Amino acid sequence: MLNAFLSGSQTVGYTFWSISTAVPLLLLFLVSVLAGMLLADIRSIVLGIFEALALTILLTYTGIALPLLVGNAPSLYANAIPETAIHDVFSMFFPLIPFSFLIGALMGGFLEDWLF
Amino acid sequence: MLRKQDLPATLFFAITIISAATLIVPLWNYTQYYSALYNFNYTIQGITVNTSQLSARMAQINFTLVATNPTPYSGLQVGPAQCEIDFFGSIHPDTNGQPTTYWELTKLYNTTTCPIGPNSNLTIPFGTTINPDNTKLSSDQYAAFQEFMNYLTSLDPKGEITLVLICHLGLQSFMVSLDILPVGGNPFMQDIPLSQSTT
Repeated sequence: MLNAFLSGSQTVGYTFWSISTAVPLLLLFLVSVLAGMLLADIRSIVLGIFEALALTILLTYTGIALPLLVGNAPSLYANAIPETAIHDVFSMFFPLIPFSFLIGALMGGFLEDWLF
Repeated sequence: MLRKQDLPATLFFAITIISAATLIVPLWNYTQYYSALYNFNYTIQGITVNTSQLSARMAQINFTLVATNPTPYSGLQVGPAQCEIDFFGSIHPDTNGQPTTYWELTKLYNTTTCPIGPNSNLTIPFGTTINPDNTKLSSDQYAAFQEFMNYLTSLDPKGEITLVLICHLGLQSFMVSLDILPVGGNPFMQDIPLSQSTT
C-alpha cells in the first residue's frame, strides 16, 4: 500500500502526487492554517473542521451537479449526474482533504498562540 | 489601519472572494458540459473517388471527417480517429440485386488529438491511394486493391460498387455508405461528388 501511495496510486480516484492534486491540496492546507489562526482555541478548531468539511462536501456536490440543477443537462444524464457527483465527492475528499484540514487548522491554532 | 491581529481574517476574506470569483467562469462553462457531450456529433463530408489515373492502375479516395460542437462549452477534444474503407462490388448483380462480394480496402488513422472550440467545427481530412502495384502491400491488401481495380475498370451498366466507411472515434462509431453507379459512357474519369447518409 505504501508503494502504491508513493508511486502515485489511482486507487482512490486520483493521483496523489501529481501537480494538479498537490497544488489544490497545498492551498487547502494554507487556508486551513489561516482558519486555525482565526478560530484559535482547540474546541472551535475541531468543531470548525467538521463544519467546514460538511460545507465543502455540500458545495462540491452542488458544483458537480450544477448542470442538472440549472437545467442544462439532457434527460439522458439525469440519473448519472447525481451518482457521479456523490462518487466524485467522496473519492476526491478522503482521506487527504480532511487530513489537510485537521493538520492545517491545528498548526494555525498553534501559530496564532505563538505569533500573537 | 490594519492591525497585526486582523491580518489572518483579512487574508482569509480575500482568498474567499478571489477563489469564488475565479470559479464563476469555469462553473458556467461546466454547466454546458453534458449538453456538449449530448449534442457533439460527427459527419463525413465530401467523399470523392478520383479515377483520372485509372489507366495507371491508381484511384484516390478522399473524404473529410467533420466534428461539430454546437454548444458554448469550451474544452472538448477530438481524439484519434480510425476509418475503415470497405467495398461491396457487383459486376453482374444476382437476381436480388444484392452485392456479391465484400472486401476491406484499407484502414486510415488520424492519431492527433485536436481541441474543438465552442460553436465550431473541426475538419479532419482523410485520403488514400488505391494502387495494387504498390510493393508495400500485404497479401490481403493486394488482393483487395486488385479486386477494387478490377471492379472499377470492368464495371458495366448492370454492376455497382458500394463504398462503406466505418469510422471509430473513442466510443462512437458510425458508418457511411456510398454507391458508385455507372452512368453513361465513362463515369469514373472524374471526381464523383457523393451524397451520404450517416448513422
